[in-house]
Amino acid sequence: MRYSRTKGYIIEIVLLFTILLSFQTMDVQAQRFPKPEFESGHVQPDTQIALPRSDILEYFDVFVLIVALSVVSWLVLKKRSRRGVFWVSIFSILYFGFYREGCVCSVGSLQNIALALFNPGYKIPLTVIAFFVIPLIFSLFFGRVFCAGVCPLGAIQDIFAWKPMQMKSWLQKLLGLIPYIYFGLAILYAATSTDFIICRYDPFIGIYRLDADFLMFLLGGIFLLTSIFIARPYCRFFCPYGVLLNLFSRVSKNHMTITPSKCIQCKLCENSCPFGAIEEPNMVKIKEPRKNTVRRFLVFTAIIPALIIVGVYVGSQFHQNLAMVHPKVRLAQNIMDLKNNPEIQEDSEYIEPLEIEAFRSAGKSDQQLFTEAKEIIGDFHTGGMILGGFLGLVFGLTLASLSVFKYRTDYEPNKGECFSCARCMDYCPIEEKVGSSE
Amino acid sequence: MQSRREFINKSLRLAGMAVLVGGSGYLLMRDDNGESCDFDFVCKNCRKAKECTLPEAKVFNGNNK
Repeated sequence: MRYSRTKGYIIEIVLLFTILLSFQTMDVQAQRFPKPEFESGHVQPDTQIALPRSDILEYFDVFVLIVALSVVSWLVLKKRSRRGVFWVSIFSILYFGFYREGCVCSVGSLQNIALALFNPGYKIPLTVIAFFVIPLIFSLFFGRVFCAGVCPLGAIQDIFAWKPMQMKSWLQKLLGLIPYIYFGLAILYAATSTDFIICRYDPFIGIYRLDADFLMFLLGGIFLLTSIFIARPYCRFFCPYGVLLNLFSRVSKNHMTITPSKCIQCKLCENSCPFGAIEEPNMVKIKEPRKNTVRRFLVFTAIIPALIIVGVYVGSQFHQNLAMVHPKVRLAQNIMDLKNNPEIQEDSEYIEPLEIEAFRSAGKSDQQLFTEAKEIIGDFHTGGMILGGFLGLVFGLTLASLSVFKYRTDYEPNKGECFSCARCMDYCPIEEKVGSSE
Repeated sequence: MQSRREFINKSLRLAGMAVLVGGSGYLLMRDDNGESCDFDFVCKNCRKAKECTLPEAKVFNGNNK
């Protein structure tokens, strides 16, 4: 019995690799013209990088994304199979991770969308829009099935969750605010054409491309090691795309359930979720009068405008620090420092930074640069206020949500935080009964 | 009969769909005259640019270190 199961696994893995190798052949075929032969005898160096993908392969990636999402939805909602979700995760690691080198990923596409919305000059490819929108549409209908096994960043952490520990709920709630900050910063830097910080500091992309510098490898390694004890730390406490998936999944039409029929309160699933996304029944003998709960909610809600104002003020105060990430602002600052302290240049050991040298060779005047930098800082002033206001709103709403008491009679997944990984389903005896009766 | 919670969820779902579809349509259909190449940070993050051995790429990478 065990032998046949192992044989099945081997066949599945061989099939996966065969499919991936056939894609590689398609990539090579995408290079339409043969390499030129030089009369001088120059030999072209070997290509060290992945070949550019043809349009048809980019559309094929979107097709694979849709198929993977559909398969996971079916596995979670109909088949209720954790094993199936696990195998899709392995496929995602191989295909979206190692083969496609993690680009374009839905997480990073958030920045392309922000850049396109704020800068009409940037023409966003259709496939990037598709990578952004499709997982969100699925989450509207089926919950976070993208996180379950399609996202390569989540999948690689998920397979490392060997000894997950339960975290205190207050700590989880507090750390759960970090993705909102990261989300806000990523939007701000993309919208101001500064940088794609999600891609730059993606801890797993270097592992997938096998080209990260030491610090990024170290960061990726730390995240993977942490995943052993704290399941999916990046997804839960950093992922900015998860912010949107969380919101969309809360109103999902067909979210997964722990039990296929009526919960018998056996408590077997109570500690089964490594992400702490199972909500326990909340039954009280005497319900608090509705009037009191509404009043408490209103008091908490009244604090929200105050937090927004504080956020706007703090954001406006930090706009210059935020703007220093922009290369033009940094360059302007460096040139300004040199102008204010000319003795630096007189030092015999002084070497002009390459970026200043490049700027001088471009023939632009300092004044032009300062004007551009000033405009950018102005954008950051507005952006910083919006970011601060947004974070104030998030903190306020989180505070207000603490006053909301939900009466629950069964063990239920938290629709926003549940990754639909299907682990809890294996703990439900009702499913086993249904299975054995068949 | 639909409960209040179901009604709110359904409305939010529809709103979400409308935003996603409408937003995608807007980004695809809008006039893209005045296309510029002022987003060198996109290229800076690109692995192709980072590893290219052509002299122009070396200068570009050197300037963007």
